[in-house]
Amino acid sequence: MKSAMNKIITGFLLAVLALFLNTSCKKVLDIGPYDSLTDVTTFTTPDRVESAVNGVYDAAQSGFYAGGAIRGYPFGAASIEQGDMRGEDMLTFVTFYAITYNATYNVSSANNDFHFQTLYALINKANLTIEGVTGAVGSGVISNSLGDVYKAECRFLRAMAHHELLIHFARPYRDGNGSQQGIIYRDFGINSDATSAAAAAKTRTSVLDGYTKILADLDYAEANLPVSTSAAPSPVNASTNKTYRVTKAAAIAMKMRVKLHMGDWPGVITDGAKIVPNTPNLGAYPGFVSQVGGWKLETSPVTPFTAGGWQGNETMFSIRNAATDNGGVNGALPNMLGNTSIGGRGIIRVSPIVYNLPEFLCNDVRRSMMSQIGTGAAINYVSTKYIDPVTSTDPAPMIRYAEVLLTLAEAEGRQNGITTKSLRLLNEVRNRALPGGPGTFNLPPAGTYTAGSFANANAFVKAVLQERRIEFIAEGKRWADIHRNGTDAVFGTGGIPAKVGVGESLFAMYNCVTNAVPPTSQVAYPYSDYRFLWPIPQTETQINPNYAQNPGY
Amino acid sequence: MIDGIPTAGMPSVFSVDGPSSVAQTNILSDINPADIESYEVLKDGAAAAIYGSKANNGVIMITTKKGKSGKLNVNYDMYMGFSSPFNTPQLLQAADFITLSNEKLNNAGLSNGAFADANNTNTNWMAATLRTNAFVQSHTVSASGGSEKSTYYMSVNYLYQEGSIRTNTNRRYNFRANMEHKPNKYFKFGNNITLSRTEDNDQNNGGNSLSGAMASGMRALPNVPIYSTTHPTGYNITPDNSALGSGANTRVIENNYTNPVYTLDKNIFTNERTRVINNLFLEITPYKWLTLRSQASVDYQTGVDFQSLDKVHGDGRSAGGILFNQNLQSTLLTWQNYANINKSYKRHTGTFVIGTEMQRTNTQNFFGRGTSVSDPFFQTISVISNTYVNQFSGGFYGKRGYQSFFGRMNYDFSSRYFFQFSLRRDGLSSLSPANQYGNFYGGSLGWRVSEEKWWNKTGLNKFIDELKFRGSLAEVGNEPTARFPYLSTYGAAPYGGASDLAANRIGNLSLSWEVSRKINYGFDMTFGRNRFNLSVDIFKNRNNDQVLDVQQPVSFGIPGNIITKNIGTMENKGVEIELGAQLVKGKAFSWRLDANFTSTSNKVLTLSDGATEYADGAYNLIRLNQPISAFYGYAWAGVNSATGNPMWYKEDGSLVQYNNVTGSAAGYYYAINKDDPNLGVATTLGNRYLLGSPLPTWYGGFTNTLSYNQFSMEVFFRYSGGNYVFNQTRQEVWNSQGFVNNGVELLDRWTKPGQVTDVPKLFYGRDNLTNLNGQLNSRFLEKGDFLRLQNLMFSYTLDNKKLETASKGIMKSMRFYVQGQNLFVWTKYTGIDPENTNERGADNSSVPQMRTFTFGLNVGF
Repeated sequence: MKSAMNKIITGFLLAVLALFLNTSCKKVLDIGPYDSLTDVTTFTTPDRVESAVNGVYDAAQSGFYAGGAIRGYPFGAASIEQGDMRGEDMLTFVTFYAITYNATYNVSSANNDFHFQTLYALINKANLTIEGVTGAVGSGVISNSLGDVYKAECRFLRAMAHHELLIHFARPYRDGNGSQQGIIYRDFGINSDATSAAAAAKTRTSVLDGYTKILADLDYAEANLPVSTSAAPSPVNASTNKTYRVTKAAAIAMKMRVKLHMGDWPGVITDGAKIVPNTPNLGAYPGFVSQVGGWKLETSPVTPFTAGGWQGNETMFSIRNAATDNGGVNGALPNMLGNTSIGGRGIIRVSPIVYNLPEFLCNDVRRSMMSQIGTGAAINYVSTKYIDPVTSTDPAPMIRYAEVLLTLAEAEGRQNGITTKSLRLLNEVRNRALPGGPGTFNLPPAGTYTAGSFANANAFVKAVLQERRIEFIAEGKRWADIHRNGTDAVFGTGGIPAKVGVGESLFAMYNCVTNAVPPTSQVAYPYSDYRFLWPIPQTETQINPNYAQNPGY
Repeated sequence: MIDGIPTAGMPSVFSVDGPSSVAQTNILSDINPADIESYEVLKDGAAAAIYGSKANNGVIMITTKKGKSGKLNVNYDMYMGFSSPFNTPQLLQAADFITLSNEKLNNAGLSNGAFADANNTNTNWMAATLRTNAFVQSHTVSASGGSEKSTYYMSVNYLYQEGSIRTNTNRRYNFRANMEHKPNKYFKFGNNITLSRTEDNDQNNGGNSLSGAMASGMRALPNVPIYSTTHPTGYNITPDNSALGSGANTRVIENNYTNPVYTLDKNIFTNERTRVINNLFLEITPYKWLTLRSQASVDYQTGVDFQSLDKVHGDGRSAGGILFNQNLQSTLLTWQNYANINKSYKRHTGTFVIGTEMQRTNTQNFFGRGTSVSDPFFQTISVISNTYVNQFSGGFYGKRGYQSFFGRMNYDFSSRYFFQFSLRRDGLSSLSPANQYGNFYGGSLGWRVSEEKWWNKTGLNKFIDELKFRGSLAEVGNEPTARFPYLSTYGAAPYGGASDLAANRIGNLSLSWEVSRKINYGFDMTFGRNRFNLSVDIFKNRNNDQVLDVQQPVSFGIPGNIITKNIGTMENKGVEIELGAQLVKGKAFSWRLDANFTSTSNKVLTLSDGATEYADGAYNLIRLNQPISAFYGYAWAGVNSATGNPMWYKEDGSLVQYNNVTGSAAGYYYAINKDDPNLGVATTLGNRYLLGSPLPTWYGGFTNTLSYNQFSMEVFFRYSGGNYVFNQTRQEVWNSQGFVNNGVELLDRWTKPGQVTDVPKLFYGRDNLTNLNGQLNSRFLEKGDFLRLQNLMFSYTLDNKKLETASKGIMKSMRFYVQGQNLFVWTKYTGIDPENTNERGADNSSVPQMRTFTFGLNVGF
């Protein structure tokens, strides 16, 4: 009896055990991620392809900073902040940006390291997406023409990233017509041992090679991008994406910028003719309206920096930020530049240097785009271009039509001197900031520039360059101008200019009447100094000996 | 491992929009120490190998108390006491702060910024941040007993502990019940359950966070007060609420560091956690020699995080106040089935076990976050609907699986010869289907020489009571930390809020098991009539195909700049010696000494792909033939006594100095010698060196237990050394060149030619050039050797018989004790504590350890 029961129990249990062994083991291990798609399934539906292209814009907006934080690298905020901190027109009130501001960076400085990293992260995502889109076109997931638009967007962003690298990590094109050491231009996706090996074999090429490839990408972008984001074949929602994805006019404007860096004045003029009409409307403001996309200046310089103006007529391309997705308190533009009175930190401020420029009239409307910060003798000015530190939704402006006009004005001035056209281009931007402006070309406001305002063509070009400093306060364009004119004996600063010392800015230094140059305890570095270039980060050189270090580091 | 069941760590979920959970604790904090009957550390590879891939780092076997048949036993255990920070940072007083700050500024060509106020304020911010005499108390009541067929053990515990940061507290309620029933000789079943609830109040202690208590407390300016009547809040804050108030200083504290007292008072960060560990088992013994056991367990944890950041000042200011609520839960299910065959024949005893095990872990969290809070009233306990303007949410879900088949055989001849062999086949969900399974074996041999007949015959037993030689060899697979490191994936990549997709990991399909091969051999010996025991263990653990997130060149643009790979082989080897001695054993007085010593060394033996080194963060390096994650940085050469310039050694042994002046003459130049005022030619800082290992090469402890009648005393010392600690706090905070407070070390800074010192000339804002912030500078690399008086305890146990008589049989036992923990550390380390380091040996703004005095009482009824 007992042994029979034993046998029954044993047999039963062994049967249960065998059953368990057969059925459960596969299920326990057959698990996949719930928070990610695999690479094989990403480019299999039109919606996912569209999402992946937006993912490249995301890489432009919010790459990862140290430890996974998001601080708006590279283009969501950082390119503007770093571009201003390398120049003299904006100042860092505390040491937050002092490494960039004082040029004390070294191979491990986080700002230049993460700018470099996130630019290349953007480039690789662009390349992977180009390859994914090509595959999706091949397998019939999306049409040929839509694929071309997507690829054009990726190539635009790839070109913009490489240009940013050239501005910070290489000498300017105009130093020896591109003969200086450039960067590594990456034009294929890296996602395997084979592609890693191919990438590791690449070395730095010349600046010329970089610019040539940038222009090839931008030519492709110009040829394939739609006139507006709502134009076929792109399915993108037009009303919310108007300036947040690139269009044909943005590609042309970017080409103008790149050619300006190359000193290719005729090239700028040729491209400029596509988006700036030769014959403006003389009886209305704005006088210039782009033939492609209809871009034009707003009547007030304030409008592009209002919530209603972010998606207006003037900003041609900006990087979108949102309450759920932005550079945060340690990165977002309204937080770093915004006045403490509205919740910002007021760390990046307007320097007395630009405030006191003689070309920046006391009653210039753009002075209303600044507010006072601090108390007593320590009162300074901050820019009010960024308005929302509470939810940090301000977009990062990349290209405004004002830049197109001033870029063309400079090229016209350098190529053809003071002409009706070059004057009109400069006045189109400046007159709306004059009291009584903007007027029209037929009925200009008092104080408008005429040919007689300038002693010679150089004085005109100088005025255009000064106008850029005033118009683009807090938009990060100062370093690009210093860089491209690094070797320009007439218009250049001859290196990193002298600056007001960190924490030294006093209310008494701001004076639009005397135009006094404020004391600059942060001294200048000549163009020849190694600090004119950022170091290639150690995170790169330690692993990749083929990315040669810049001299001096 | 509790009662044979593996337990989970709390899910460590990284959440982009909110703080990561404070609930990253291990099982030991959820188990009441009073419930533990015994624990055993399995260091022997073969023993650990039985438990599979989770056992790679060794196994701690905890056996909880069970009831015994017989009378009801009731125990009450309590202790209460106080603790205070053991060591706090030595920071500048106001007068010195003013002098040094202005010197920093003047040397950089800037004007004075620090001034004494009318009251000559001198604030000790650390004292305002840290707590002295933090209270701790614990009470446990347990009851156990049973009949012939059933036994039970139950306990309840309450613990309250105050932390070293002034507002931190921890409260825990714990319940445990172990029950077993044996209806007849064939069946046995039972259930063990632990319920635990923890309430943590844990402010932001982050070393890098602006309003982190330590970060802002150490940097706060000593010449400004904590409170101010001119600010509406009553605290000393700038009029725009953005930073600590400046007092008479003309500069604002660097980078908007906040008033730490305000943020500690106003901000809240709490975690409430509930954990259920339940283990149900059924054992059937159809024959005496066969036992079939099935046990299923669940380890379920759920936690709620709540964070509130004040809208006026601190990290919540920009957003108009921040509320954050997060729910986390994780479930670890385990099911083990095995058959145990136990047969003896004469002097042969054999045991065979065969079975299966599967585990599944589910981890999940979701959160809600609100900013622009309408009123501080709604910021105290939870998010409340419609009290904030901007609403955010997020979440995560992830699974892991583990599957195993195992068999094991033990053979014992006459308690003299031992033999064991085990084999497992383990599968992991985190490896690709092709590489999912690994086979691992282990074996051991033992010989108890003292059981041989000749042992007693030759009279050896007079010297040595017992001697056993043993050796083992085993392989254990190690589980990767990432969930799916082999997969290339595309994850959420919002472009300005829209939901989009982008590559978030480049996978590696060839990723395979990391295998630890463990070799141990040694002997255990008892001698001097069982008064002395000695164990010697020689070990060698070799990790083959070690899995590492290999850093890629950042210009490849690979997500996270890592690909997970099997990188090569690493070895840990050494010797461990344990000695116990009953030095005195009298009727009234006895004295026992237990000591252990481990000597170990670590080395990278091979690296794959022909590599000679792998990058390992900014401060460490994995290089062939070196200890893993060795410190890697610049070799400090002191201060040039003529100029105050910091100097380092270049790779050829020459000196390079940073010419610390304003203007473009600033830069790196050769130095002719340490005292030469002239600059050599311009150069660069040069290459980095390997500077030492963060891993201790020797460690151990010793305990003296003395007793005299009913009194006893226990003294426990711990020691460790041979490693280096990177004192990052000293580099980045105490030696900061910004407008913040500093450590007293800066008083020795270079001020005039001819002065010999190790602290270079001050220069505002040049931290990365004079201190090499962001790099390892061997000036801040210090030896980590220490000796710690960990525990000192006096106790008095009442005579049981007298107690029973006196209490009329109500009380059976009673013991009192006073105890001091972490009483003293002997070390040359200049930071707060040589053990406050991360896994790569860096000490960054760590919170001081506590010295605790307690009084305790145990009563048995």
